[in-house]
Amino acid sequence: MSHFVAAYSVEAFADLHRFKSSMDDFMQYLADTPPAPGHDRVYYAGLMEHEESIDRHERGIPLHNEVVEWFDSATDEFDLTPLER
Amino acid sequence: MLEHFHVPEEDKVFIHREDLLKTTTDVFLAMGMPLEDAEFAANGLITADIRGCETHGVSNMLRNYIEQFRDGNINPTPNWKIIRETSAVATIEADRSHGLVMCQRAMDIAIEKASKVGIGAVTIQNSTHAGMMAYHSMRAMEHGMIGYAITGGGAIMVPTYGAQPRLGSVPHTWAVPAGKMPPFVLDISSSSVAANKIGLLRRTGAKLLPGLLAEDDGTPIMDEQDVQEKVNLLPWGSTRELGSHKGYGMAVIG
Repeated sequence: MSHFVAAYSVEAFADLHRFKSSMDDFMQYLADTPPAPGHDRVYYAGLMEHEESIDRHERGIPLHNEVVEWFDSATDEFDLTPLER
Repeated sequence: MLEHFHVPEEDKVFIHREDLLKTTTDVFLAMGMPLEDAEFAANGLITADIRGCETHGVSNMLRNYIEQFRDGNINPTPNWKIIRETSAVATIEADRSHGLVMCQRAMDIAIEKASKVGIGAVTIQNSTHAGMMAYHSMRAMEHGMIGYAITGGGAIMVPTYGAQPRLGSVPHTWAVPAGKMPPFVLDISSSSVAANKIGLLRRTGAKLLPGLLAEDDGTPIMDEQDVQEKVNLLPWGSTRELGSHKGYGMAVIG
């Protein structure tokens, strides 16, 4: 399997602080778009995941019952400390 | 992720991030990985779960990875090396290293190059599944950089008008830092649905949504039905009329 990763230094193209400020303005502008009928709000890529991560840091990660049972069998098989819950 | 793919309320068991991270790291250590690699891999899975992308979290992927370690497909102690390099780019021969680890290390190399010449790009050959690709592109943001990550491989998606799968689902991911606002993180497969989501549908017993898969003869399935045994993903757009040539083209780039 092949992969490709790349990094672009913002500072090489523009002032990083100004770039981030522009990003803030643009993301806010998108999030403030009036929602279409049947929808509560407008998201941009990463916003929903960011909010989900805050919630899951607090409440925990919801696993399916079956997955937790699998963890129990795996930790038993590999002689590991069982998954805390 | 759409609610359709989430774990049903009655089947949920909430596990704290730290507990899940510890046990998952222990499992990778049991597979023979060095500690730092096990932590990279476990953190990649838990990052997906924390962000609500359980398609690429422990539920779907950990069992699969264990099988691949056992089958010898993933090498827990690879001797990876750079085989071609300039000031801005590098190519890595990965010795069947876990993609979750290799892409993190490759991104670190790309970041180092970008800090010197503005852009760094690293291609990796002979690796394995790399988890949620946004995990890797997001690493660049920690350094005030924009990250990009893509992976290819496999034949699970039919080309537009095609009757046989010839392409991988090829996710493209971008991570762009912001200031006070949450960053822009785009992680999209070139298919109408990530293959892992089909596994989630099976686990949760949910129906297949229209436009995700094709029949055996390549015809797009455009009604709601049970998940079939054989999975032929459709390109992003589902049908030519809805723009499937765009997803098809994006997959070829991978």
